[in-house]
Amino acid sequence: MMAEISAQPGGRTVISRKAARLDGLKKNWYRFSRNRMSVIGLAAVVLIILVAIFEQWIAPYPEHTGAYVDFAHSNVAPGKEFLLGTDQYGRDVLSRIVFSFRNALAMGIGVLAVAAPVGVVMGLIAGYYKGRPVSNVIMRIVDVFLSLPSLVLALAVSAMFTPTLFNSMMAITFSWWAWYTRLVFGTASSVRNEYYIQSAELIGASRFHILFRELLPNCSSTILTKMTLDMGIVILMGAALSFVGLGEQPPNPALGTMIADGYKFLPDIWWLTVFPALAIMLIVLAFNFLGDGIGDMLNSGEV
Amino acid sequence: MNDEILVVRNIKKYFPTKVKDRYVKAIDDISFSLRKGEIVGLVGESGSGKSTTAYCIMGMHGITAGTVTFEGQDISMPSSQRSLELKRKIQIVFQDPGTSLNPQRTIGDILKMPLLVHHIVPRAKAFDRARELLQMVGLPEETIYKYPRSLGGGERQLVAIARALTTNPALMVLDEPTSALDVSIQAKIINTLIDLQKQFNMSYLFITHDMSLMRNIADRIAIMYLGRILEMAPAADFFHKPQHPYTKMLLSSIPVVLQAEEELKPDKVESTGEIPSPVNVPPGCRFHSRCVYAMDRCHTEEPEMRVLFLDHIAACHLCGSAQ
Amino acid sequence: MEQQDRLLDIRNLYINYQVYGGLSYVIDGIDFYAQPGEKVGLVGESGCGKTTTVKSILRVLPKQAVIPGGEIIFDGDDVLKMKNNALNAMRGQKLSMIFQDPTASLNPVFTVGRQIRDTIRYSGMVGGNNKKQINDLAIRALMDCSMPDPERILDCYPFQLSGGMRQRICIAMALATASKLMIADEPTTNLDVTIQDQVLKLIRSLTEQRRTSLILITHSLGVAREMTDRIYVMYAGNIVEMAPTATIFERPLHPYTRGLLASIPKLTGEGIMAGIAGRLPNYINPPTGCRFQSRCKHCRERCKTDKPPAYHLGGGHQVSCFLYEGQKTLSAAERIKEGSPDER
Repeated sequence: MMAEISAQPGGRTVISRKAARLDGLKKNWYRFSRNRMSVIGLAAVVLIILVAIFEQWIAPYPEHTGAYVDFAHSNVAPGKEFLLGTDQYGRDVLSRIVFSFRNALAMGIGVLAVAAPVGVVMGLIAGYYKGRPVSNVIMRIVDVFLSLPSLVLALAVSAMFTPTLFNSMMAITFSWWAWYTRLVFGTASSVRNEYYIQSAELIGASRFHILFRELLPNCSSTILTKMTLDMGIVILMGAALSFVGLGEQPPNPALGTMIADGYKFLPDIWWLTVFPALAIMLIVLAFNFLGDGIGDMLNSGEV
Repeated sequence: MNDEILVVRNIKKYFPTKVKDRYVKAIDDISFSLRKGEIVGLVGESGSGKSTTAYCIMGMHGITAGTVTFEGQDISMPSSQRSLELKRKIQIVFQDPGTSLNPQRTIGDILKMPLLVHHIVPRAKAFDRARELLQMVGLPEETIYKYPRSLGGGERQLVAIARALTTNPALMVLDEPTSALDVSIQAKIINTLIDLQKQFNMSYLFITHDMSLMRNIADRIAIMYLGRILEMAPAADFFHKPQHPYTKMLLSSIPVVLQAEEELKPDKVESTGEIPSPVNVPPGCRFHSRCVYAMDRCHTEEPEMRVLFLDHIAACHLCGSAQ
Repeated sequence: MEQQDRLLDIRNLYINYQVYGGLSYVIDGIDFYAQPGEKVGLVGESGCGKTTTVKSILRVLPKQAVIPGGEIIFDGDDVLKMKNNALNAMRGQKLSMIFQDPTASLNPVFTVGRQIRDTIRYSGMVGGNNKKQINDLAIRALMDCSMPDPERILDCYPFQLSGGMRQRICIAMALATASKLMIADEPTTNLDVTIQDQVLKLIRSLTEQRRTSLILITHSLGVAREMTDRIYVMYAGNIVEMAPTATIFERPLHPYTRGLLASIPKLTGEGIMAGIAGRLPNYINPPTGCRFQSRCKHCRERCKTDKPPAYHLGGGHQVSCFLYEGQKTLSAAERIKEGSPDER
């Protein structure tokens, strides 16, 4: 009789791929929800995304976000009619903030959608071939890009071209990929020597398989965590760029631009600066909490 | 010999150190062969070079000198230069089940990969074949969806064995496959390995430091010390008529549980000293610094391998006559 | 009945760990003792709780460990109730421990001499920080462990020494403080067989010379056979069998002990062993009744509901299995008369 080595004692026997995936998701949620701040972060991020999608219906005065002028109601303090007040052109601050979410998120997604894949691939190659020329070349290029302050670089690149949201995204992406390369290089170069990677090589797996199916999954937790935290940082950078006029152009609303327009009126007409600043802070915090939560969830493993 | 599937001839593997002209002589001229369907055991303590030998055969290291031949073909090159066909025929099971399976991949994915790389079955059938392999090693079906972290050490090792089996190899190299496992689990793994070996007529190169285990599995045993083979014999002879002083020292140091085993152990050869560093291999017989029988000759002249009985060779000035 | 001649007496000890998911019931009511000068083996496989047990004696369990019940009496003192000062004195002077991995036990950035001298100094053995005396004791300790050239070794760093030598240094450190009890937790598992032989011999001769008691933890019955007078077999937080060493091998009673012995490959070449099917039970949700039930060929209904008590058969042999319920068991008085001093 075949002696049985049974499955996890006390666990359910899982007999289909769907059930296994579901089980995995449940476990992950369990770990994630242990930390209240992470759940708050997740809720806040979801809220931000919903606001960005449904901006038309959420903003009380959607028409104020275009070329709109109403000097009769300019610089009105926050009150019943305009919840967060109006600016010098009579435009509702709340509506403009709501409408700025879309381009803030777009900045984050746009930068990461390019920087992350490029950076990760370079990092995998550099890590796998550590010690060989290709790896050294990549990492020296990374060193160069990371030694330049990204904001200054972004400013320089932006200033070279006409200032638009798209161009400012490109400017940040230009150096942002290097962070991912360095991060992934660290993990990949150590994992690369593990027996399971050597096993795959000995079996004859292709380089593609080893890089993307064996190595990459071991880096994914750090990458995902970083991407989430990066959303906050990139959005902040985007606000900095638009503060100096290098992002989304008026009359389209952008958080940085709103602060730039409003700060000279401090401290009397405080609502023009304070609310957009608060909005930036809340967005960044939300992604930070979410990022921390994702990091804990993916790294806690089995207790 | 036509039924010799693996022939290792005078191989050396030296690792360079920071000091010029000083090497770690992990393997320092060994020769042995493995016949088809045979289990050869490679025994030795730390620093003996047994794992390095396994890795050289697999191509994880290149060889500094000598040749390794598999099925008549020269395979002395590292694995990156080997053909896919060759990679299919020789497989390895590593010692630590914790690190030999990718923790981010399911067992199913781990088993399917070799099947697809070598086109053993069409993609649509790969999943079923993986299930069959799990059955062959005695694991339940649902293991296929699990991750290595949900499995115990014994189960993981069985998965590693199943993975090695995927390509129907002719030769399996087993590097201390049960050393990291409890003895009650070890038996299941060993039994599975023996059954599979008989079923598929594979040849095994089995590496371990556990002599009692070796006694019960191997057909022939070679004992290594500091990069050299000191004695090689069929299993029964190895234990009943050990010739080399090192073999005797090792055998007399093993803790055993039965009185019958005690009686089988050779007269106590006191274990003294420590194994020298492979960077500083002593002149003459490399074992002389620990050998109670060492003569003057042993300090200066390295003994050659001598044939003592049928299939039984040893490298010691005190044994037999030169080959 | 007071057992005053016992150096260490653990009674009815329970230890739980607070883990995510609840409580892990790791140690499930064990009784364990050692007499002065005695060598006791604690044999079990990984995860059975042997290290947890001895760590509780030293009170070095992690903070998620909770001891809901039981007592540990060492040299007349109740260890579980001791305060820090008394604990440190106990650890420094009366108890010593050596671990499995000598590399991890030695601080790589200090010389060996510094570490041995520190151990001696903190043990409080030498009053007034007398440097010469401490140094002499350190050299003496190394010489007792047959270390060649002790003066030179004292100036070495751990990485300059081999595994066997490092373990010998750990033994030297442990015995430098003239302790009453030495606990060795798998001291030779990471060492080669020939070195293992030397180290074990050293431990045996030193403990015998100084009449130090020894608790040897190992997963290897062969090692226990060579080193101990009495063996406890542990499984999943329970002591399943205890007997004088020779008896365990001549007449193993508990199905786990027998399974373990049967799993060991023998030099006599009988072929491959059977092993014990199954896995350790889940400590968070342990089964009611005997914890070995899922792997036992003789498991009956009763085993799933009641936990078998320790049956004291003659000759100092104790086994926790319902298979031996009907056999003639000795009462406490009979046992003492017989000369095998265990209780209950």
